[in-house]
Amino acid sequence: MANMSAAEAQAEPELAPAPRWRIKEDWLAILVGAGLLVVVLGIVTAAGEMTADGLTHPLKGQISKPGEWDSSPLEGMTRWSGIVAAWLVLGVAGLAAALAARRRLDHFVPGMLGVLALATLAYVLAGQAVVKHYNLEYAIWALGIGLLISNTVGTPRWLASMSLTEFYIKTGLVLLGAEVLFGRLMALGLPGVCVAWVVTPIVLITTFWFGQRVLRIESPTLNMVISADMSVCGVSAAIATAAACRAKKEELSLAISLSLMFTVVMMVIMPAVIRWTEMSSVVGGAWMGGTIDSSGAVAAAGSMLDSTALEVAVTVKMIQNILIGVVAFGVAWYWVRYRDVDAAAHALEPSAGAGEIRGPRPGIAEIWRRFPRFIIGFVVASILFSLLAGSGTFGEALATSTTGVTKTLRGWFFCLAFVSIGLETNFRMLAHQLRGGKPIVLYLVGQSLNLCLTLFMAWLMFTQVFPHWVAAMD
Amino acid sequence: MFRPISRHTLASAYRGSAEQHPNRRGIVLFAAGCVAIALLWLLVLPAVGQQRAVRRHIDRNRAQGIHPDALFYTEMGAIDGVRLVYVDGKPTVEPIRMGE
Repeated sequence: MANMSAAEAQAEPELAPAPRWRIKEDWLAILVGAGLLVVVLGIVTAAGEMTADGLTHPLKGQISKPGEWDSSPLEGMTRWSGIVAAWLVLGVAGLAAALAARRRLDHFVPGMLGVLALATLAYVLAGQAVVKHYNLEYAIWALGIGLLISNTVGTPRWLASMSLTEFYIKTGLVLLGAEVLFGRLMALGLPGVCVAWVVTPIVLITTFWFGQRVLRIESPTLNMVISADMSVCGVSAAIATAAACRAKKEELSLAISLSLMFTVVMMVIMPAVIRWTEMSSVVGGAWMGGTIDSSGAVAAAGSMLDSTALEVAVTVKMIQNILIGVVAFGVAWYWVRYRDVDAAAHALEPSAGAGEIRGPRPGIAEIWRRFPRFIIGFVVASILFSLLAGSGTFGEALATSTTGVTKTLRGWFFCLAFVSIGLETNFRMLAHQLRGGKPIVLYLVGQSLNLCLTLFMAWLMFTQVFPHWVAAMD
Repeated sequence: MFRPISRHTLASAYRGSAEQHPNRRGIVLFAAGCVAIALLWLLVLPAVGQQRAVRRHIDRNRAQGIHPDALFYTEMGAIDGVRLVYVDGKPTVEPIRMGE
């Protein structure tokens, strides 16, 4: 993520020095992510048990996170051995990162245990039934816990030494790549592709353009992260695009906070509107699947209608989720090819207005040199696991049972990342981003466009162009 | 043996570090935050969870195996999704397995 300005650096709490990596952070993230995928895939290949329900992974349930609870947090800690196992795996990954980042090893044990304990607390807070079922995901609590510490008593240096935000995010993204299976793309045929893959890029690009040209948002990276998390799939898209365009940590924090806030509202209101207008379940489900940011909230909203709406909503969201790989790659390419060089040219002539100066466009070799390597890891993991899943029934079983285990680790890595962001963020930096309310206006305008276009496309595709789809579902 | 003093250490010593000298206001705010979290999560939210409308929402999700906190489709729980296939030329819906 981008370096802070001098003024912002002054406002930041005192933290560990910026790491000087022995091996490039991106490559380390790829190595750790790929290593985990290979090990988990190897174990299921060698020792997986084929049952009537599919291929059972020997590690399934052996690596877990705090679960759901109603009145006592202890109800969610029944899988404590799985949590300890997750801590061990993450501890090994953290040790590799600490060595690579030349962190003080006497800080490693307390620092790693500290960030793991805070991440566990975030999961416990997110596991409360009301919080969980209204989609207030762990990311916001992880961030909040970190912010509480850094803005009151200050982040201790031993804790800050293991706040390796970017390493956690990039490793989590490489693991996420294995879950992006392109074979799912055609699940709903052409109607599904049109709703999820035609509308979404239009909304993303239009919202970004609106933020730059009309609202004139100071930070293009903030604009891009909000546009992506609103148009694609919420927190996961925000993480991927923030890493791809090297957004500031507080920009990612702001984007996910906005997204989760509006997701709660949309999850409750949209089913009511669909019922009130007597919209068909297929169109209503597609509308919700294409517009509600968070994947889990889409399922919860669909369940408020009926099973048809639920299935269509979840399937459209799944197709849209797959877009995350293309978006992350596209944003990284766009930033390296255009934004970075324009920003560099603008820095040489600061008196020029935004957008007036264009830097020389880099060639392919230069783009490759600057391109964030972890995106390559993310895309390669996606392609390899898509090929594996598409190779037949056994290949699909191998891919899904592997990601069934690694998705838990991926969640932990993201949780550690948000704890780390909180530990490194000052409230004033967050407030600065909200100045003038432009991010909220951007979100509202983009989401309004998203709602209109998705509804139109769902109606057009499912009732006019492919009416047999509705008949098949009824 | 003396260890070289890093630029960072010098800067910390000069500016003062929050970690070394958390002021009283900071400690009070931190304690207040912890108490607020404990009260909210241990008393308020469990009570809210017993409200009829909220309870119905939670029970419906649990009955259908939905994980509303899912970040990605692979975490959505027992929901498998659907796909359209043509059997004998007629459109038919079949479930998708997600490996749950």
